[in-house]
Amino acid sequence: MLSVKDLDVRYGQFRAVRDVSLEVQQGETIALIGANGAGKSTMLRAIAGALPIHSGTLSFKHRTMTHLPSCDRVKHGLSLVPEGRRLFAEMTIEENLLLGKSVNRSGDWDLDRVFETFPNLVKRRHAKAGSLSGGEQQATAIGRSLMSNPELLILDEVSLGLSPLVVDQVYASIETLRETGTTIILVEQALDRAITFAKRAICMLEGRIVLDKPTENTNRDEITQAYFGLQENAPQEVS
Amino acid sequence: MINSLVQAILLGGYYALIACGLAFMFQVMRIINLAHGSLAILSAYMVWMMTEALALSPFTSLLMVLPIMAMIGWLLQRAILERATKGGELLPVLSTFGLSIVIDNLLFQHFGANTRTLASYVGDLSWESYQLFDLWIGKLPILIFATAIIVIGGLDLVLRFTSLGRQIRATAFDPDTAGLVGIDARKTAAIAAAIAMMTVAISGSALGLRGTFDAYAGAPQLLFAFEATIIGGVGSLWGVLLGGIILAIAQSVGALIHPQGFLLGGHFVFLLFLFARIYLNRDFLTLRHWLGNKSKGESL
Amino acid sequence: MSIKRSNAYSKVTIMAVMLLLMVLVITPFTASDNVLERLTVLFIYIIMAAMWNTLAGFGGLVSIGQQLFFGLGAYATIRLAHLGMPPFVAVFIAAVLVGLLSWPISKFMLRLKAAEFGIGMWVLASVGHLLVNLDPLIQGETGTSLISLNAYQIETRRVLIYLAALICMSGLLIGLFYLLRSKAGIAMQAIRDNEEAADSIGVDAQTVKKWFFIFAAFGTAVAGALWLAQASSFQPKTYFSVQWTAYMIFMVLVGGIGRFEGAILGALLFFAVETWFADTGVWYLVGLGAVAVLCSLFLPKGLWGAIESRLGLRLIPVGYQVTEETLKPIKS
Repeated sequence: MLSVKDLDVRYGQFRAVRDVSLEVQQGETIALIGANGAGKSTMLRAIAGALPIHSGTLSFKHRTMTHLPSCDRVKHGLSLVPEGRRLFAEMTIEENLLLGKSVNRSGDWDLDRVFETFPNLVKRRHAKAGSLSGGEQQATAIGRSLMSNPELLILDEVSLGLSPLVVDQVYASIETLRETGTTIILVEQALDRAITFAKRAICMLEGRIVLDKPTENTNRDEITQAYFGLQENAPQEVS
Repeated sequence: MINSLVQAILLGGYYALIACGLAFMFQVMRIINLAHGSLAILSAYMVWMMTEALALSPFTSLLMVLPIMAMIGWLLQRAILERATKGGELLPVLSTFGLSIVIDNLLFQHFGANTRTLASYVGDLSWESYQLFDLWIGKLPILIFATAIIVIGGLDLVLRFTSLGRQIRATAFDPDTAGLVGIDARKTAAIAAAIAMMTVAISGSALGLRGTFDAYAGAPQLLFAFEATIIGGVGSLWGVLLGGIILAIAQSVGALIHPQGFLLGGHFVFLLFLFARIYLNRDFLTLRHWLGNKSKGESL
Repeated sequence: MSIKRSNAYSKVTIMAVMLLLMVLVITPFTASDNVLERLTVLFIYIIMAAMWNTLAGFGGLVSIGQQLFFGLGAYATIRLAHLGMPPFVAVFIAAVLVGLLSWPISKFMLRLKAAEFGIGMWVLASVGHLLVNLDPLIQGETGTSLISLNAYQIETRRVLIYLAALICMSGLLIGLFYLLRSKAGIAMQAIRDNEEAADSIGVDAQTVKKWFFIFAAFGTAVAGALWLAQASSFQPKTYFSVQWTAYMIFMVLVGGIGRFEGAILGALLFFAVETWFADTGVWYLVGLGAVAVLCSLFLPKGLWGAIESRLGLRLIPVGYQVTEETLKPIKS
């Protein structure tokens, strides 16, 4: 459903993502793993349209959208929950959620269903997003993305800065999402949780994909080695 | 005394009307449009032309000018502002200032040096008054003041309670994330510019109804709008109304003190507010502040 | 890779500038009155453009109110001459006084950002205009003249004003040259070229901006005072007109904002345009505005910027030049 070919993303002269190719099938759950600065967020932001793609192509549901603005990608069902939540702090939870409806995609998700999925938000419905706790913010950010009824949901740093209890809650809600057939890509630093949740693991190192396997065919050690670039067949750095 | 205070407050309504479009654009796009005043004069001329050519009431003409100005706003955003904002914060200033020169001089080229007014097309309205106790209050200034309240209130309601308003606020707060949420930031900005230009059309007509205007009257209108916005505290539309009133009162007081003090009074109060905004809660009265950086400066 | 301060072009430039200066100094003895007067105007334009460029191109401050200093320079000259000061001394002292006045103004105005600073300066210019109008000596908008200039014979006066303008222009350009080559000036150019560099350079940008502001105020006041000397009459409305700033913006935008040579090129172009098209009246102003808009949108570095990047040409070495390829990131 998502097809990335030879993707190159740059910050000025710096190649943050180098020649990445990736195929994602409908209904997959993928954990994206890698150290800070490995290019995960950069790649996801480029896929979502928040960063320009330097070269390579991106297509989603057989539609090329390499240079489409981000709002049009949302319109076609591709939604990113950005790292750090990026809520509109001056607006209430409800307003933040309603903004997710801007593209008017039809589907099951509406205010009621989001509040059903994240019951902790109901009470704070009219509170300013800036005043929320980390867990509430993350729930709002996910809810905001869901309001656009995405077919592919990308979650960048799902559990960053959340207490273990809240992380459990968040994963429980993503679990229900998966059951509805939504394709999910998520970035998770906690390796164990990533492997248990996702069916496929992708590990990035210095802007490249160094490992891409179903989680049942790999193990913690292999991923850790890829994470630090200790694999024998790891590509050599050029510069 | 009370009479001139009431007059001043009503004049403040006009200032608020011309300022709210400027403040709106500043809030949404972080741009101060230096062609704001010139565009108001442009719409005043358009209303005048339609009124004259089609023998309409200025109010009907205004209704026809509104969509034209909305289109100009859309074009302004798409053709100039969008491109200029990408090049940093200086280019919007330069390009809109250049635009104001173009508009002013085109108007002068076409309409010449004679002043125009819309007052002569509204019959009694321009001089009729309500009597309230001992006060005579002009109908037209009341109408303009009420319009200011309606326009500002309308903008406020749109921003607060409509989907478009939410999208405008979200785009103003963080355009990148707004895009990720599915908001077309370019379209939203263009719509906001169109709305702002409609308020400009209304304020241009108000100016024409109040008195006379000529091709170069845009610059003072821009300064009034800017002063009212700053006095009202940037970032609040209702503040603009208050700012307009304070500006008008200051001008009236200035005029009382000295026959040429009208504009000066307004400028001084504006500078005072600016000063307060910059230095409030600071140790600006201490000598250290004024001489503090000196040693660094001399190392040049 | 090597970093140089001057290059072969610059050495040629210095020779050429010296030669040009010599020619300009002896011009009064050969050229016609008309040429002399036009050249005086050109020198004033170059001063104005260079000063606005100092502010906007190097200091990042777009002021729409430089007519404040232009008008005050002329006004102070009138006032000082009225006190009995010889006119050419008055021109200089007036500019110094305006420069001093700009110091407290800078304290205040430099706290404003972008457009707020720009329009704030415009308001200040309006305040200056209105206050000058209150001076009985000026007689409101009627204005007055620099009568003491009549002490000189008309030919002598023309040559003196020409030489004064030439000296002022050369002095200010040399001053600007050294200001830009100072440590702080280099830092400001680095900041202009790369915003992120601002923090790492360790120069207080605010202090440097203040000096640029004061220098520009002084120079613009010189231009105003010189304009008064060559026009001899003073009407507040003319001198405090925003048109002066519009001219400055046009010259700098077209020539190349933030390029030392750009301001001079812009002034030459403006001078040529004015000479040929001023007869078209208002259309000429429409054209200026339109060109300013187009330049700011499509040619943000101006003509000189385009020439520079096309040919790698740099006549006046105010910045560092890095030759060879772009720096490669060093990996440990």
